[in-house]
Amino acid sequence: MKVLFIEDNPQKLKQVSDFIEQQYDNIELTVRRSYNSGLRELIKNNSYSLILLDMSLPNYDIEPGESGGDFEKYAGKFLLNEMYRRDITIKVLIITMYLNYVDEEFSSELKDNFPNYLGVVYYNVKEPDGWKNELKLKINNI
Amino acid sequence: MNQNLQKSAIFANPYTDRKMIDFNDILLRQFRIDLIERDKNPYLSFHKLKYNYDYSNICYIVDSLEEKDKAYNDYIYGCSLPSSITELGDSKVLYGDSNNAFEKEINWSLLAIRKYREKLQIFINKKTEYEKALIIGDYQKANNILEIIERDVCFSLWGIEQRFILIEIQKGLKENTKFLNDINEQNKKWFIKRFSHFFSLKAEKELSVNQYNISLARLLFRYIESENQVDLHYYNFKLNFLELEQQTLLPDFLAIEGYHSIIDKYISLIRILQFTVLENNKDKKVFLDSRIYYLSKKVNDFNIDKLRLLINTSFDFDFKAQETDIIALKALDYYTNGEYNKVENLLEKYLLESPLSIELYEIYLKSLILLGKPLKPIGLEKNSFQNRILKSLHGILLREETMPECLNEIRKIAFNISSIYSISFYLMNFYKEEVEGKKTFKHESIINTSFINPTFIQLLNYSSRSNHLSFEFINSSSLEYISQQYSGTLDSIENSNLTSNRKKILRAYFYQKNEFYKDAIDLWEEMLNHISIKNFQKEKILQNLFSCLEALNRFDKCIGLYVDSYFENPLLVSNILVDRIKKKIKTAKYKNVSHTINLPLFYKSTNSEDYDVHTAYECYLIAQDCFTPTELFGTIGNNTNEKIIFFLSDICTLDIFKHSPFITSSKHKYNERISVCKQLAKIDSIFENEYNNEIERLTKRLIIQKGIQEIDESKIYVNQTGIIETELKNITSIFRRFKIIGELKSEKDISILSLYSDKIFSYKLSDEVDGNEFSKDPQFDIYKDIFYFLRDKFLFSNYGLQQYLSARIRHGVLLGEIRPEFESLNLITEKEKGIDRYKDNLNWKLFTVQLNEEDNNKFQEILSTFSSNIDALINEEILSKSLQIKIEDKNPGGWLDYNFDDLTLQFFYLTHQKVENVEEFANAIFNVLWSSTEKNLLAIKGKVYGDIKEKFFELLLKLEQGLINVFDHIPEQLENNINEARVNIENKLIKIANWFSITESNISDFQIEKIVDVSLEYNKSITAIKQIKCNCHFKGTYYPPLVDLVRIFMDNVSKHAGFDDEYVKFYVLIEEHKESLWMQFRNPLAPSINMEELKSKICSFALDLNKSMKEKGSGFHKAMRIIKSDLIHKENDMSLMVNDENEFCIDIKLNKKVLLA
Repeated sequence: MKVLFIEDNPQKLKQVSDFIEQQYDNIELTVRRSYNSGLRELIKNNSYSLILLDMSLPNYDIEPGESGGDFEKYAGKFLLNEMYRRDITIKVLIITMYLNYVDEEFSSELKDNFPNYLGVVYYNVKEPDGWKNELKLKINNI
Repeated sequence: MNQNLQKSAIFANPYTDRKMIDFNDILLRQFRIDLIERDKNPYLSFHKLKYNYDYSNICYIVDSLEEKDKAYNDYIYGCSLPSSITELGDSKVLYGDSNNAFEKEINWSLLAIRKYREKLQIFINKKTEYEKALIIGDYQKANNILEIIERDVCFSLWGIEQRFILIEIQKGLKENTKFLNDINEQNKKWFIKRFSHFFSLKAEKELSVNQYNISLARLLFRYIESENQVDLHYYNFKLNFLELEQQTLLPDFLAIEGYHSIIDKYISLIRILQFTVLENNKDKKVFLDSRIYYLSKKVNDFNIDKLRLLINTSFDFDFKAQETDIIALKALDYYTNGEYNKVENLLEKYLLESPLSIELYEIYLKSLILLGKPLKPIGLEKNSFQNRILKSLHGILLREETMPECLNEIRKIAFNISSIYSISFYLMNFYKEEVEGKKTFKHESIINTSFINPTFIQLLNYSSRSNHLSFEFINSSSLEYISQQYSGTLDSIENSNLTSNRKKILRAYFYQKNEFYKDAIDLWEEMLNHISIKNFQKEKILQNLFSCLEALNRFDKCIGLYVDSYFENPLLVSNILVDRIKKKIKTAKYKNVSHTINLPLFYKSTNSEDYDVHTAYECYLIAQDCFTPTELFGTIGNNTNEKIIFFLSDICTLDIFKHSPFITSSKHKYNERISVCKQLAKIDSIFENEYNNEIERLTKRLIIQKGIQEIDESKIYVNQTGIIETELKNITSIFRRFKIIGELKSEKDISILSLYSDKIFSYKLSDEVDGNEFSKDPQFDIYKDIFYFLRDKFLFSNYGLQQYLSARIRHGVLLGEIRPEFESLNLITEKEKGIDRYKDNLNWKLFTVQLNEEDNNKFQEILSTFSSNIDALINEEILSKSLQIKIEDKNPGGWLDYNFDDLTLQFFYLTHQKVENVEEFANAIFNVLWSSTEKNLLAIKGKVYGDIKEKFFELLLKLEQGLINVFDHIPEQLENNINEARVNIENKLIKIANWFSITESNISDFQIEKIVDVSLEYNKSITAIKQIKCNCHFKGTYYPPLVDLVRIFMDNVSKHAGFDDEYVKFYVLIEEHKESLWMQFRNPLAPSINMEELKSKICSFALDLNKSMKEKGSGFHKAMRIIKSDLIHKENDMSLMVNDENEFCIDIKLNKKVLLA
C-alpha cells in the first residue's frame, strides 16, 4: 500500500514513520514536508491509497536558502479542498498535535465537506501509546 | 403579608361592603406592626411590601405611611428627585425576588411615577424641546432647558449625559474632562462615576466608537465570567444598547433603577415596556395593557400612545394625531408619488421645526438627488447634528467614495446622541444595514419614531389601525405602497392609486416573491437600463436582479453583473449577498461556472479568502493554457483592459501565489510578482511609479532574505586570512626556530627557552636531575607551542572563533530567536525592571478570572517558574555552559572541544614536520583546527536537536504537570499553546542547528543599505530612520562584520536606551567621503537614564579584548574590535558621545578603499 505522509515536524515524522515501518511490511511511505510539495505530489501522483496529513504546514519545504514561507495554520484543510476540487479521491487521515483540530465540531465540518476524510489522530507526545493505537486502528480499518 | 393571609382576612369578614376598607386597614396595621418589630431593619418590611402585596394594597399603605412618616419614603421611592449631583444615587434599593418579578418591578416603578407625575410631565415636555434644540444646534436654548429640568424637576443621569454632550460641543474635550472631574469630586458613588466616565467618552466629538467599545469591554470583562450576570446585562442595557443585537432584559433592571432619579426610572421603564410589547408575548398582554393604560392616566407622552396603538389596547383610548404627523405623512406621500419638488419645499422648513423626524431626512435627500440638486445646510448652525447627519446620509445615498467616512460619522453621531432614541436607533439601524446588511434595530427604530409614520402603522394590527387612526393615515399612498409590498397581488397593485413607476417596482417584487423569476428579471433589467436611475436605486435593483438570477442558477450572469457593476462603482454591489452562490460553486467544484476572467475578479471583489481567490485565479489561468501569470503575458500583450489590470495588480499577488502548486519556492513567488509588476508598469503607465516602487521593495526583500541566509551561514567563522596577515611575523620566527631545532636535534647540551614559558628544554634530558623542566623532543614541544599558539589565535584572537561565536550567536541572537517563540504564545514574561522577579502573566485572564486569589497566585507562580526555567536553560545551560570553547583549563562543559592530547599532536607533528613554508605550515595547522571544528559542529547539531530540545520539552512537560497538579486540568487554549510551543521550538532548533555549519559561502558584493536592512530583520523593535548617501559596492567579505556591527548597536538601543515600549527610534546616517566612509548611529535616551554616569562610562571606554568576548554589557568592545580588526584598518575609529539633545551617538570612520569591491 502506498502512503503519502505530508508532515514538516521532524520528530513527529520520524516517530510516525518508524511506527508504520515496524507495524506494516506492506506500506511504502513517501514523505513531503510542506503544503506546496504535498500538493504537487498529489497532482502528479494519484496512486496512493492513503494520505497522512498534518494540519499546519509551511508553504514550502524548509531547506538551505528557503525559510519555508508562511506557516499555514489550515494547510491540511486547504489540501483537502484541493483534493475535492481536483477529484482526488484518496483517503485522508489527519494527524495533529493540536487539540482544537481534534474538536468534534471541526472534525464533523471536515466529514461533511470531504467524503474521503477518515478522521483525526491526536498525536500526543506524552502518550505515544494512545496515538499509536488510534493510528493502527484507523489504518487497519481501511 | 402573603396571599393566603389576605384571603383568610376576606373570608373572616361577612360584610362585603365594609370588607375592603377593613381589609386595607388590617393590612396597614399588620404592615405597621411588622415595621415596628423590624425597627432596626425596615428594609425587610418594604421588601415584603414590594414583592408580596397587590399594587392597590401597596398604594393604600404607602399613601397612609407618607402622611405620617416621611422617613420611609427612601425605601419606597428612593431619591427620585435629587437636587444636586451629590444626591444622585442616594437611595435604598429593594430587589431580589424572582416570582412574578416583572410585574412587581413594573408596579413598583409605577408607584414612583404616580407620586411624581407632575414633575415627570414637566420633564417629558421639556425633553422633546431640549432634543430639538440640541439637534438643530441651538445650544443656548438646550442649556436653558437643561437648567429648567434640573431646577424644576431634578438632576439625573440623563441630565449628566446631556451636559457632557453640550459641554463637549461648546467648549471641547478639556471642559468635558473637567466636568467629569467635578462629578467625581461631588459624588463618590462608584456607579455614578462609571456612568459619568462612559457618558464623557461617548460625548467626545472625535469619538472613536471602537475605543469606547474597548473601554466598555474592559469594564464588562470582569462580569462575563462572574455569576453576576444581572450587572452585565444592565450595563449593556444602559451603555451598550447600540451595539448588541440581542439584548437581555431582566426585571431586575427596574429594581436597580431604584437608585436613580424619576427621570432615569421613567426612561428605562418606557424602554422595557417597548421591548416587552415588541416581544408580543400573549401571556403578558393583559398585564401590559393595564399598566400602560395606568401610565397613560398619569402622564401624557407620545411614547405611551405608540405603545397603546401597538398593543391594541382594550381600554378607552382617544388617539389624537398632531399636525406635525399630518405634515410628515404628506411629505412621505409626495415622495411615493414622485413629487420631489414638493418634498423639497415642504421639508426644508419642516425639518427645522421637527428635527427628530429622522425618517424624513432620507426622503428629503433622495428627492434632492432625484432632482439633481445639491444639499445645502439648513438652519443657522452649519455644523449642527442635523446638518452632519444630512451630509453623511447624502454621501451614503450618493454612493460616493466618501461613503466609508460618512458611515463612520453616522455611527459616531448615533453614539454621541444615543439618549435620543428616535434618532440613535434609526441611525444605527441604517449603519448596520449598510455595513452588515442586517436591519438590526429595525423595530427599536420604528417604535421610537417621533411621528406616526407608515412603517409604524404597518406594525399595527388591522383593528388597532381602524379603531384609532384617522382617514389620512389609513389612506396614505405611502402606507398603500408598503402594504402592497407585503401582501399585494397583481390585481391589487394594478388597481391601486400608485404611480406607474411604483407599480412596476411592486410587480417586480411580486414576481420575485412568488418565484416568477424570469418576469422579475425582465422588470429589474428594464429599470436598471433606465437612464435617469440614481445610485441608491440602482443598488436595490442590482440586489434583486442578482437574487433572481441566482435563484435560476444563472451563475455566470450573476458574476458578470456583479463584476461589471463593481467596476462601475464598488459601492453599488457591496451589500449583495454572495455567500450562497460561492457555496454552490464550491460544491460543484467550479464546474458550474465559466472560467473567464470574471471568476477571479468576482472572488477578489467579494473579499473572499485568499485560498478561494487562488482557486478562481487558477481556473482562469488554466483555461488560458497557463500555469503562472507570466505565461499569460504572451496572450494579453499590452492589453490595457481594466479587468486585466485588476487581475494582475490585485490578484496576482504574493498572498495568492503561495497557494499555487506551480510556484514552488519563496524566491519563485517574489520573482513572479516582480515580473507581474514589470508588465503592469508597461500597460498601466499611470501607476508606473507605484509598480516600480513595489519592484524595488520586492527586490530589497529578496536581497534581505539572501542577506539573512548569508549571515546564518557565516555564524561559524574564523578570519583565517586576518590571523595569518597579522600573526605571520610571529609564526615565522617560531617556525624558523622549529626548523632549526629539528636540524640540531642530534646535537647535545642545547637548552632552548620555550616560547611561552620559562621552561628549559635539554637534549640531555636523561642526564638532568629535574627532567620535568626539559623536553624529550624539543621540536615536538615547539610544534606544540606553535600549534597552541595558532589554535589560540584561531579561537581567541581578534579574528578568532570566540569573537564571532560571541557576536553572532551568543550576544542576544540565540536568546532573540528562542525567547519570542514562548513569548508570542503567552507562556513566558519578562523580568520586572530592577528586581529578580518575573512580571505576572496577564494573558490568561479568561482562566484566572475564575480563580480565587490563592489559586491565581499559584498559577502565576507556575508560569513565573517556567519563565525562569526557560531563561536559565538559554542563558546558563546553553550560552554560559554549553556554547563555550573547551580547552585544557577552561570550560569543561563546553561543546566546542579544542583539547588535544599528546598522541594526537604527535600525529599532526609527524605529518607537518617536513613542511618548509611557514604559510603552508600555518594553513596545515588551521586545516587540523577546521576539521576539529567540523567534528564539534556536527556534535553540536546533534546536541541542539537532541539534548537541548529534550530539555525544552521537559520544561514544557513540567509546566503542564504543575498546572495539572494544582488545577486538575489545563485550560484548552493554554494546552494548545504549549503544544504549539513544542512544534515551534523544534522548528527553531532545526534552524539554529543549521547555524553550526561551515559553509563555503561566497557572499556577493553589496551596497551599504543592505547591512542596515538585514540588521533590522534581527531587531523588530527598532524603527530605523535612514539617510544613506553612498552608492559604492563593498566586498562581500565585509558584509558579515558590518551586519554584526549594526546589529550590536541596535541590540544596545533595545536593551539600554531605557524605553519600555516597542519601536525605539534609531537614526542611521551613512555618508561616503573621498577616502572614508562615515557612519553615525543615533538614538534618544529615556529620562530614566543617568546621563552623568553614562558620560563618565563613555569617557573611560577603551578597547578590551577580553570584554569583547563576553555576552553581557553594551557590546561596544565587540564593535571596536570589529572596526579595528575585521574591517582591517588601524585608522578606523569609533567614538561615543551623548549630544545636547540627550541622544546617544556613535560616530564611525572607516577607510573606504579597503572595503571597496
